Amino acid sequence: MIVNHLFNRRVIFVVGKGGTGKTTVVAALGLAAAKNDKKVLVVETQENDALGMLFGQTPLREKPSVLGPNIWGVRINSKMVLDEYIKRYVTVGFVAYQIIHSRVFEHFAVAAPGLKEVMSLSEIWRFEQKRDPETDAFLYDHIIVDSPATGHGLSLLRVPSTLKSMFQTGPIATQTGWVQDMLQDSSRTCLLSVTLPEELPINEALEFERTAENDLNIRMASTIVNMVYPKTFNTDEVKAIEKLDHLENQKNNPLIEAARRHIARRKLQQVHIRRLTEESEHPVFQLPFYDTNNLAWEQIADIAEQIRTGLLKLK
Amino acid sequence: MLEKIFENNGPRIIACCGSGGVGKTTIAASLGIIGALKGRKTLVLTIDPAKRLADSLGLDSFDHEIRRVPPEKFLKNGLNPSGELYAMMLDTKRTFDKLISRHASENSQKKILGNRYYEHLSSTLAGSREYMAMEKLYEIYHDHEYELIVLDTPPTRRALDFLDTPQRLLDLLGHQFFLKFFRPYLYAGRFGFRLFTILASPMLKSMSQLMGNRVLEDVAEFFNLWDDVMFEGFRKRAKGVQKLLSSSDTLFFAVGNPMARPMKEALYLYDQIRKNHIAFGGFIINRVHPQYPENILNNPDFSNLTDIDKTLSEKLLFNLKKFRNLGNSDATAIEEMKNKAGAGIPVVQIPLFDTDIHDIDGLLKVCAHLS
Repeated sequence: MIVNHLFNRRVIFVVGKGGTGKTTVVAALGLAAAKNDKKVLVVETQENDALGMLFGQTPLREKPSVLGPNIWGVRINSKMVLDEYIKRYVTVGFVAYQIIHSRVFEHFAVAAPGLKEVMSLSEIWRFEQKRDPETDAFLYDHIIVDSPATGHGLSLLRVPSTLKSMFQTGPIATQTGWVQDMLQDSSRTCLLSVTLPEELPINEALEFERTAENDLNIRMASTIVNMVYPKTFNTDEVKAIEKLDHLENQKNNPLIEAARRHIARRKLQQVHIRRLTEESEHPVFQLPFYDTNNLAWEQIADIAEQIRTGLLKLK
Repeated sequence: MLEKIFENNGPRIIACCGSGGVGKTTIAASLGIIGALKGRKTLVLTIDPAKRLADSLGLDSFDHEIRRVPPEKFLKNGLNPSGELYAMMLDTKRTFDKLISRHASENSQKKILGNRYYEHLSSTLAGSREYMAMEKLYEIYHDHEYELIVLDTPPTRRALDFLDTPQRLLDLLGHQFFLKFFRPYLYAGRFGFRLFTILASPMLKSMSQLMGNRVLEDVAEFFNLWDDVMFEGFRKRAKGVQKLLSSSDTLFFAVGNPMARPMKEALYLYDQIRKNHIAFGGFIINRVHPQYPENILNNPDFSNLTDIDKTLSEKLLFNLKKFRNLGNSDATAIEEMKNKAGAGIPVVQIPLFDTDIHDIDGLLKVCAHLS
């Protein structure tokens, strides 16, 4: 029986603002899928060593390389992809050389609307298409992309639609069409958004969902709320603590004081999570807050296991 | 700790930089309140405030005008600032349009504003938001309307982007190589600029085969107009903006939180600020957990807690341990930062509050730790 799980899509863009723990989620999701016997490629899209650092390979290589069992990693250098592209299509060698090394083109690549982004997306598309020459099966079951955090994380995904009207003809236009098809095909691509249980991040996650689905036609799978305070105390215990908190002789007891802090934060977080759950069309998945500023590998493995036994089972 | 900056000979501009999600807007708004309380006519220039905070400052998200924060908001808290507090939400595209209309003739204005490439440049190109924040700052500064301007910088992934990306925009708009490249092939047709004799340049021909003619024509038209009417004015202005940022009237703060990445970003930012000879006011570390004494778990005080059962007492202990770990983790991170920054650099800590900061009440709590 084929179960239509949320994460049957092969290309997963993990999106979210900086500081939400997006990179950790990419790594954990990669590990979870790899443990489920899927071949996974995790992709870094900008000059950033965060993902590589988690896997102990800084920076990630510019060609896919092994990070662990069933898991590969790659960092996309859009300028390099663009140069390769030009070499492929500009058949006269010295002209290609001239273009790649000209200052005008260098500036054009920075300034041209979305050229860099569409090159990054094309590379992801190529990874998606890649097949094992012997078995003809797809080389990667999942391609998990750590999307850039700027412009609500959407700037990268918005590019093909904007670009289609600008580049009307030529190979880049054709390539943009292929990328667009991949992004908008909900059987191939999905988005996983990562946010925090606070007012502004939740607003942004909701806005993000609306824009992605209504304007860009790219399907969301789920929103992960990261760094959620766990439910340490049950309702009766909360009541008992609140009663104690009012007692004069307990005012400065650190046991009670710390409990009060936990309860207050958790209450606040739950208000925001409830709003997200009510307004979002997709499942909301929570990941816990760890009592440290630097996640250790065992904590990432712990998150991976929660994703594997929870998120990956969602339908 | 930051008292000094609000004295009469203090900076006229305070800029809050930092990576996204660390609470720059809250800090900027709080610094603005202190300015007003110290008797200065203060403007907070913000980018993307949380709705409730914007509401509480009297800002409407669809309105990009300067608004005064109603004095009643302070009176409610028993305060009567001798200065005035104003706030404004920045609109990148409008600031850019205004810049064009300041320098270009009416006819060229229309052409530039209608150019497809300008559309992209002014709204989505990396750096335009950052540069326009500085541009607006420059304009308001030279109006001499406000005694203190607090700038909340755009949310970027990396703290440094605020200083970094405008340069890329300036490189692009401040050089004439595009024009040198395109002009020989450009002629003004009835419906705008066209590239002709394109075949004369094998490079241009290949580029147009790759990307299509239209993109090249849009870009060529834009730079042709830009160079004719904007180039000199813009370059002079950009120099003025950069000079203002490195003048003694401007003070930069690096805002962060104790998590590994924002701390690293803040330090990196400080490094670059120093290298660019910009005045640095210090680090503001937001959302710091309280630190408990090291031996707190050795003799937990369960006396008077006779009502509670074993499970709950274990949970209380477990929870306290977590908070102690968090407090320690934050303290270590801040200590490390102090060592790296060196002596004499202020590091201000703002505690993590039990409630969201979304009104003047909350901001005043932050103020208490800033001054």
